[in-house]
Amino acid sequence: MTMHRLQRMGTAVATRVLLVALACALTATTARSAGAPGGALRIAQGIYPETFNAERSTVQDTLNVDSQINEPLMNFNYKTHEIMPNLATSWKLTSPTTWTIEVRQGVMFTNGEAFNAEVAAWNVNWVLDPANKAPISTDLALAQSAKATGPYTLEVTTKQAFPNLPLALTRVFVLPQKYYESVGADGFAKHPVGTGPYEFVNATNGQDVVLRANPNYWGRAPQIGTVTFYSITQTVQRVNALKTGEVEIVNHLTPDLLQLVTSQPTLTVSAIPSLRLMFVILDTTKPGPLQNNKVRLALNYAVDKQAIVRDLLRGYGKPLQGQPLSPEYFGFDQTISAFPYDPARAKQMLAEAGSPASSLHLEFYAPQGRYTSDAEVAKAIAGQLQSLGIQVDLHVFDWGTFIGQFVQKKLGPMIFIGYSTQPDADIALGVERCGQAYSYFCSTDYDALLNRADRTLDTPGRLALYKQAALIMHNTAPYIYLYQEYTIWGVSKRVQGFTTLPDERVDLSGVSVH
Amino acid sequence: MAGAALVGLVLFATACAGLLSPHDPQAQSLVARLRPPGSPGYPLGTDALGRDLLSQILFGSRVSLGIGVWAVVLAMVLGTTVGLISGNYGGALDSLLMRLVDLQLAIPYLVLAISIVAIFGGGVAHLVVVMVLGGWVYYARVIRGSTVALRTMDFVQSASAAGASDVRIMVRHILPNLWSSIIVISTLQVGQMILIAATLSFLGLGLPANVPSWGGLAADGEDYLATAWWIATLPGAAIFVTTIGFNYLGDGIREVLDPKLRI
Amino acid sequence: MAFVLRRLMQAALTVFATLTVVFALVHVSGNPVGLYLPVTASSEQVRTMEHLLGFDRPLYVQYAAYVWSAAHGDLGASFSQSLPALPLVLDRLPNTLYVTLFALGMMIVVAIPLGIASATRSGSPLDFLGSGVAVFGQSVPVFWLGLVLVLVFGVNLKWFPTFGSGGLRHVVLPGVTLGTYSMGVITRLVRSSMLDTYHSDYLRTARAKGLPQARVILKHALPNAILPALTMIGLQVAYLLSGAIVTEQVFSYPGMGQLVLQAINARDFNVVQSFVMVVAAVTVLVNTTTDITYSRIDPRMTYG
Repeated sequence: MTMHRLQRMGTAVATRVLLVALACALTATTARSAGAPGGALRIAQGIYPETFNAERSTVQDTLNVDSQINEPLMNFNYKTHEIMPNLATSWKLTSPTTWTIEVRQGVMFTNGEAFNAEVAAWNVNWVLDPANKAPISTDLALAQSAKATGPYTLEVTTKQAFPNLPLALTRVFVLPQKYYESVGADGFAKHPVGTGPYEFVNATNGQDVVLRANPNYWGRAPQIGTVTFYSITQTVQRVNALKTGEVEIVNHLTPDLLQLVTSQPTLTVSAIPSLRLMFVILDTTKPGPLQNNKVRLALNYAVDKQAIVRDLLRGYGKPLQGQPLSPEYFGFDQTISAFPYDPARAKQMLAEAGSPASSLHLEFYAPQGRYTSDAEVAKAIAGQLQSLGIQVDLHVFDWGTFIGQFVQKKLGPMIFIGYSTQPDADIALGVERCGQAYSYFCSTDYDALLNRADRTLDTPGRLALYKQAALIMHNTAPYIYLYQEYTIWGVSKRVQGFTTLPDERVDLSGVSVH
Repeated sequence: MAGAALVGLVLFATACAGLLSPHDPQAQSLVARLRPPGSPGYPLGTDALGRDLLSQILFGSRVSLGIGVWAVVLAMVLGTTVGLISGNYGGALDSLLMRLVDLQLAIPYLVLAISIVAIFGGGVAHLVVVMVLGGWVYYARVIRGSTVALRTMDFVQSASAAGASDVRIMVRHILPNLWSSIIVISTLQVGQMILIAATLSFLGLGLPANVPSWGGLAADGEDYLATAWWIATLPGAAIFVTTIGFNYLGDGIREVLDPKLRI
Repeated sequence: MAFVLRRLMQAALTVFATLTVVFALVHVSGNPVGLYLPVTASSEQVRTMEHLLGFDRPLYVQYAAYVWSAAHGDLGASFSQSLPALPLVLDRLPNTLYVTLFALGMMIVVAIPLGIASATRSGSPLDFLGSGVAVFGQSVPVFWLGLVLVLVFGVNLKWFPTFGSGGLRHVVLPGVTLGTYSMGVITRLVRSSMLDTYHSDYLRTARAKGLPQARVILKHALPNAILPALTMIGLQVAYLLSGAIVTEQVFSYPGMGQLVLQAINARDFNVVQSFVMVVAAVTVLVNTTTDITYSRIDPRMTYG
């Protein structure tokens, strides 16, 4: 072969070698980063976080953002009703008024601070301190104080037996003590730091919060590079943003808007019953026809829950089984059944009770824009009662006005309301204790029952007592039992591994974007 | 005149709402939800609760139009009086009244409206009060400016020199020249008042749930714009048609009062 | 100059009076405690929280305390966000200003010329366009327009983002939505003022004297027609700043309007009051400037 040809061959070979080498290098880099988090996930919620301090908020949308950064000591498992370890690894009662808790070792905050029992105790005490006005302090009312007794052990002392402390601790989030004390609440509000799977990058007030994967997270490695939480107040606008592809996940969708999502092949709907239970409160404390137990029971037969769920909520609701609990709540009694719709029986019961339908004139208050189709459902209920001959005056207020008057006990005797609590009968049934802000019922027997259950340490014992309490709620009917709401999310098919939870929490472990 | 015809049509529909409506506007039918216009029995369709839209629009006109007209009349009387007095007398009185106008204008109107509705509740009377509060200032400022300009004109000066009283001057000499401005503002305002009511409904305030109004219907239909557009758009069209009618009516009246404008 | 100073002092007094009125209104509407306490709170705890936050003091005491701190530059903190209220509002001001300026731009660049053309070419297609714009702008509900614009230009055509802020593209739809009403008002006002002055005796004389059309318009009709329009534009600023509340709600645009609506719903008094302060200050500034300009153009106006 000639020199020229050899040279040409040489160049060709060299080029090929280079190309192969390049390809190797590229695959090597990609192979190395195969486990690293990638992609961007954009979530649009209805509310912008009003604080980055998870201890200061009871708004789930806010906690959805804050809980990616700061984690609680324990988590709740909805399938098994068990408390699962998180930053706390084990816990037990070492005396009737002392819980001893072991916390996880080797966990760091993203600013390098170490997590240990002292930090955990500081966080519990922070919530207990009335000066901090933490809303969840009411859940911890029975706790006294927390103290670290070892590098990874702490003791929480309670004022009386408090078997449900671990449940309350699922809402105590762990903040870095040194950092918080040095920058103060204001500083923390501008730049929160935590142990969670994602860390704070920046935020534009009223618009978005940007988070990125925490490379040193102790738990299941986050699989998304950047998570951005947007806030879009109008429901229909959230759907629009999902359709245009500006976001991948949206929450708080209403049943009527779902066809806009399901009609798109790239989108899917995720809906499960939530913890929010809807009622019409019947005021038993003020003089009037509603103080008669039979009248209250009659009203429960007068409302067609199935029709409301089927027609107004398009099936995205589950009628309550005659008690202020649903299957997700510990203490739910499967044997109690829903009040059937029986207007004839209702009319008869009212007549027997001495308050025939035509003699009843009731004021009914409902909020607007707070719950799914709240005003519509209230109107439907009023309509159903009116078809029996009962005169119902419906007043609909915006939420701020409504709740302001509600806590001042200015509304009644019929009030449309919904609430969700931690999924335990102790808390859910405790709403109707005498003197509670949401309680329009008072029975010392009922309170005594709940107090005994409070102190009972064995599960079957507690269940038996809650069964009695639930039965009281059923038989005395301080509510018209309506339905359990669904939590409805719109999700892009590019998102994998996203599941909805009954408490409407956003859990990104195992979620990835393609 | 097209304007008079439109307004006449609207007033006729309002008066005969009971006769013209095929259904009771409050009758809910959960099986007849979200029917489109042209459905049998529901010429303009139904809303999310199955209530007939045509009936609601007809009955709603009584509420919306009533509120609008009352609010405008009251605002006009209040605002024109203030503007005339302020412009004619000048001095400390003018200062005080215009500061009042400034104060009113400085308060963001929507904040004022929302706060009032939040405290005193919704309802027709409170809504009218809110709208009068919003409307009178425009009259006052514009009328005051024109009064000041007119006051220096020869015909006013000579009437004053001839010994006419202040009231006579204001009513007999200045006011007639302001009618075109007053009418223009008034006709604008009827529609504006209805829109303000609609906006308050959108924000969740306004009239109670069982009182139909155009604004309330339009606001209720927000979520359904892409799927059941008629719920928000047809009441909006009613507002639209009414406003156009009043505007052209105003134009027509102005032509009559100020014949020089006839082209 | 004395006139200017006097007007500015009056402006300051107005701002103060505004603050007082809104303070009274917002506080009378109830306190926010109920919004923040969980379902598990007892009535006792509600009262304790009210006491801790000072809401159980008589209104005049709360007012005095507020004025005292305001005089020291402290307008309180946002109850829900635990951040100082005034900076929170001021941070959002630029966003609202962008949308407001866009709307103002529409008024000046589109509405005024359209009104003039409409008046001087009565009966022509331009006249119909002008009247059409005027009528449409004033008779369409703002939120409906916003939602329709989003559907058409955001979702279907994908020309503009459907929510949020972040550049000129984010300002267009909210700006058009916000400005449509004012555009209608200004177009109509300019048109009718032009018609009034154009056909007035004064100008008929001028035209009879043989002055050219354009000169008649520019030198005589225009200034007289522009004055009411100026007044109106000044009034529109207040409308725009507070009307932004609805527009920003529709577009989830993070401006002052969105903030104050949330604050009103959350009974977050300090934020509402700070918003009122800011809007009142801007409005009074604009109105005072308009008045001063007016007095320069028409010296007869200077008393008061």
